[in-house]
This record gives sequence, C-alpha cells and structure tokens, in this order.
Amino acid sequence: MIRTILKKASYFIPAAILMLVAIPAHAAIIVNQTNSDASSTQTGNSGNDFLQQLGTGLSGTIGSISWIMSIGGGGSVNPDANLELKCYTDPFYTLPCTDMSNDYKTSELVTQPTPHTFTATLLSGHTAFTFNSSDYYVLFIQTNSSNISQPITFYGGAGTFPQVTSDFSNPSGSGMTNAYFWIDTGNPFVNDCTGGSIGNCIDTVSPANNTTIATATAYVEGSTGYVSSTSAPNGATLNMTVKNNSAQIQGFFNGLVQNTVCFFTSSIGNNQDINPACGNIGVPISSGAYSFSTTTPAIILNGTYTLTTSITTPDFSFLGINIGQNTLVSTTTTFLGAATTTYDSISDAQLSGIQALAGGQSFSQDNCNVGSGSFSISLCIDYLIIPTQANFSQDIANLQSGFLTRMPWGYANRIVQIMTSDPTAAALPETTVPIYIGSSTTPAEELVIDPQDTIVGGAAYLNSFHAYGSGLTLRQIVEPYIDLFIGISLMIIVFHDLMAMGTASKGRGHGEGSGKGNRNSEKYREWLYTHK
Amino acid sequence: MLVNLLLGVVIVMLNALFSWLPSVTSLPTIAGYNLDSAVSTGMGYFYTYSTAFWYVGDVFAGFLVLLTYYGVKMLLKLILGHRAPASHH
Repeated sequence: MIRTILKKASYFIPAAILMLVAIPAHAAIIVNQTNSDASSTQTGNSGNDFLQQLGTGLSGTIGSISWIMSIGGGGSVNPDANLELKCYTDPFYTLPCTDMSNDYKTSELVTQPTPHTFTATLLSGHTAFTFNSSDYYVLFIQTNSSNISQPITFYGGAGTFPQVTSDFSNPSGSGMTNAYFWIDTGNPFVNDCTGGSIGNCIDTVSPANNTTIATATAYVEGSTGYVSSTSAPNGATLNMTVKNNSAQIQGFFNGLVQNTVCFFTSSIGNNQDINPACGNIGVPISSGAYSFSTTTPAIILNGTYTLTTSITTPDFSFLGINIGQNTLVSTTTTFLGAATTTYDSISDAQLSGIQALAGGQSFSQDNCNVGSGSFSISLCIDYLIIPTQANFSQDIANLQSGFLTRMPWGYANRIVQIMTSDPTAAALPETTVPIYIGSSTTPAEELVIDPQDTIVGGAAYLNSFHAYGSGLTLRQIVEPYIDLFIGISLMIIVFHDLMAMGTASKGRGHGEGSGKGNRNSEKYREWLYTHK
Repeated sequence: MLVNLLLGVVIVMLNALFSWLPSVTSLPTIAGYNLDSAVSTGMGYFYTYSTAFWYVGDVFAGFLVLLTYYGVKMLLKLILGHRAPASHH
C-alpha cells in the first residue's frame, strides 16, 4: 500500500514541480505614474533625457521600466535609450548611495512619430536591481544617438508624484513637470490608452501590416490589446474599417471591447454604422485584455487596402446613455489583396495530396540510414519513391525554362504561362463618347463609359448583399454548388475520355481516343456491314 | 528520390536534345502589334472581370484543370509512344 502511494507520488511530485516552473510569477507594479498629461511634453534632439524623482519606501526587484515618447523621422541612425537609477540617502537628493544601477537599456528604437510606449529591460548578464526601501531614487532616461535630425518628445504624467528635477541635459520646448512611466517587477506594464499612445491598447491587428491576402478567400480581421477602466470609464468600442478606394469597397467591423462582439458587417461606399443601437451604446468595461476576431464577409479584389483600427469611448454617460464619441487611439495599417486562382490552389495541392498518401508522415534521408537512430523501412521506401515537392517543382521549372521554351511549342507554353501565372488584374479601360449637336465640331457633351466602376463596382456591390439571418453573401451560398457542378462535370468528361481510350485501343487500328472511340466503333460496324 | 531522379534525367535529356531549336519566351510582335503584351493585358482584363463575376473565374479554373489533363495525356503519348493509352497500333 505504502509502495503504491509512493509510486503514485513519484508522478505527482515532478508534475507539481513542473507546474511551479511553468507558471510564471505574477508581475507587479513597483511604482508608476500613468495619469496622462499629453499637454506636458519635453522635446529635444539627440541626447534628450528626463529625470524623475521616485521618492523613498520602494521595494521589489525591477523587471522592466517603461515610458512614453515619440521619435521623429530622419537621420541615419535610430537611437536606443539608456536608463539609470540614481540613488540618494537623503530626501534632498544630494548624498549618493553606493547601490547605483545603470543596467537597463532598450534595443534600437525605430521611428515612432506618434506617442509610443518604450520599455527598457535588464542588460544580458547583469543582475536585476532591488530597491532599498530606506533610500531615495531618481529615474534617469536618456536617448543615445548622435544622428537624429528630428525631435524626440517625452510625454508627461499629471499625477501627484514627486516632480521631475529641472536639470535636463538638452532642454527644448516646454519642460514637463512629471514623467509618464511605470516600473514593473515582471513583463512590461500594459499602457492604458491615455495620452493618445498606442502602446498595448492596440497590440496587434490582423491582417498584419504589409501582408498579402489572397483574393476570393475569406480573411480574418481582428485586434488584440488592453484597455483599462481608467481610460474608458464609460465603455469602449473597437472599430475596424477597411477601405479600398479604387474598388469602392469598404467593410465596417465593429466589436465591443471585452470580448463582446457586437456586430460586423460590410457596406459599400460609406462607413455608416449599420446597427446604430449597437455602435452607440457603450458597455462599461473593467480593465483587461480584449481579443476580437472575425472572418470578414467582404469581397477582396486586387489592390492595396487600408485598415484603420481605433478605440473610441463616449464623451460622457448620462443615465446609462453614452453621448458623443472620443477616439482614444487609432492606428492605420495596409495590406495587399493579390489574386490566386482555383487552378493555383489545385496545382499546389497535387503533390501535397501525393505526399499525404504516406499518411502525413515526414521522411528524410536518415530513414534509410541504419545508424542514424531513425531508420525505418517504410519511411525509407516513402523517401525513395514519393517525390518531394521542392525537387518536383525544380524539375518542372527546369522543363519550363528549357525544353518547353523551344520553338514552336514555346509559344503554346508562353500562352499557358500567361493563363496560369499570378494574374495582374488590369483596370478596365474607360471610353469617352463625344456627343455632337447639329454641325458643331465641338462636342456638346461627353458620355463616359467606365466599366471598372459600373461593372466591377456594381458586381462587388451585388456580392456584398447578405442573406437575412445567416449573414452569408450570395457568393458564399451559391459558389459551393457551382464548384460541385464544375467538379462533377470535369469528372464525367475525364471518365468518359478514359473509357473511350479503352474502347479505341482494342487493336483494330481505328481508335483515336479522346471520346472518338465509340463513334469509330459504330463506323467500323457500318464498314463491316457494307463490306460483308 | 527515385521518381525525382527519373524525372530529372528525362528533363535533362529533353533539354539537351532540343537545345538546337531557338528559344522563345514571349509571343511575337506581328506588324508592330505585340501579341505578348496583348494576351497579357487581355488576361488582366479577364481576371478583373472574373473577380467581379466570380463564377466565370470558377469555370475558367475548371477549364484549366481540363487543359492540364489533356496536357498530361499528350505528354504520356510523347514519352510512351504506342504504349500509351489510346495510341495507334
């Protein structure tokens, strides 16, 4: 019995240790000042810095230190930032103590023209600094670059924390009286949207910036981030707007923060709120992370799309009714719609399908090496017989660049290349028809026929309509049936052709294949009948 | 690997055997009319239409699959000769 218990315990003890190791200690804020005061800024060029008194009574070990600033463009070298904690033993900050720390530094900082959260973490190989509660501290942050042509702006806080000391190294513009910062024992503290700072308020957006989305496919649109109750006391709304000006297609997606999806839909030609009741009523939220993701109903055409993501709050709330709208933060990203045809998908799937015959297992040369430790007869045979996609693609590329380019079949190959390559959708040409009245040689009016707008834009408009209730577009409803019809038709044609081949190759010498076998058989019988 | 090797050998042989023929990578220009540009632009228009009228694009994709089938069949005839299905005896 005791042995059984010990045996079971031998499983639990490592599991418990593993859980303790796997679950990180919860980070805590040591000291912060995050009441934003965007009007209080400190602007300067390279070497700009600020000194923030932290007072006394601090305890805990520093994990990260964050603040808000913006970095102008220009210059050839992006700055980084050094951080130093100055320590004093007296309340007048005159007697330095010995436990100074300058072990925190950012990686290289890229240009951020709008207010952005920056975080300094411990330098590799250094020991994390622990506050002594009897000492007085000053936080000193200085950007480090000699080639920045545009100003760097620190953003201030409006709290009641001890004021920033006045000894800026490179003062320029209005000096701030308090810094906006936080010192955390663990991972960087998430910013709460105040001060117009993106920070972690909009942490990620999807599609990510500068990514390519295949046309004619559904794509996922969403955002994750963090909004606190301080910055949105009356509720917040996440707004995501997609625009493609050339195609006049716009999708408007709206989800209330705190994982409550309000609605999403798309509209053409405007950004109007389809469901005002949902969009205008804010839901009070508590601090926390949000995550919104949805598959869009919008039809994506070729072109560049602009995605604007913003978090808004009502100006004020009265008797539970939110009035006005105030944009806390907003960011704009772009993504590209590029067409891939069904043919591309089928072509790409061929070898994947062949390789799937191996049961989805991966195989390599090591499977044929007895001494490798991963020797397997079946996988070795798979490796020897099943072509790898990379090599097969290279073979086809060699064929296309060599044999298939030779005249005269090279022309046919070129036509196939044009038909099957990634298409570049061309805007349909516009035609202007002059209208003359009487004998005048000057047109009285011009009739402009723009098929890009009328046909493509009109079709996109029709494709945007949704079925009541399901939210599916006509295309989403009908296309599977059309694809099924096309697929069955292809199977019948190919099957009929294959059967005709068998009929034609009976050794009579008349078979032509390709569907002519049956007809030739009838002709052969007629020939036998007339020549008997 | 064996299939890749076999294909590689066949392709190298084909490339070598027909290397004496002139190589063409674009359609010709006839009487100042660039056929290559015309076909490419035409396909661009077609794709623009097919993104709007998506069912046309689906039918075209099916046509390309059928074209691939006939291409593979022609290739089999070329490689296997009279042993290929539906070949003349």
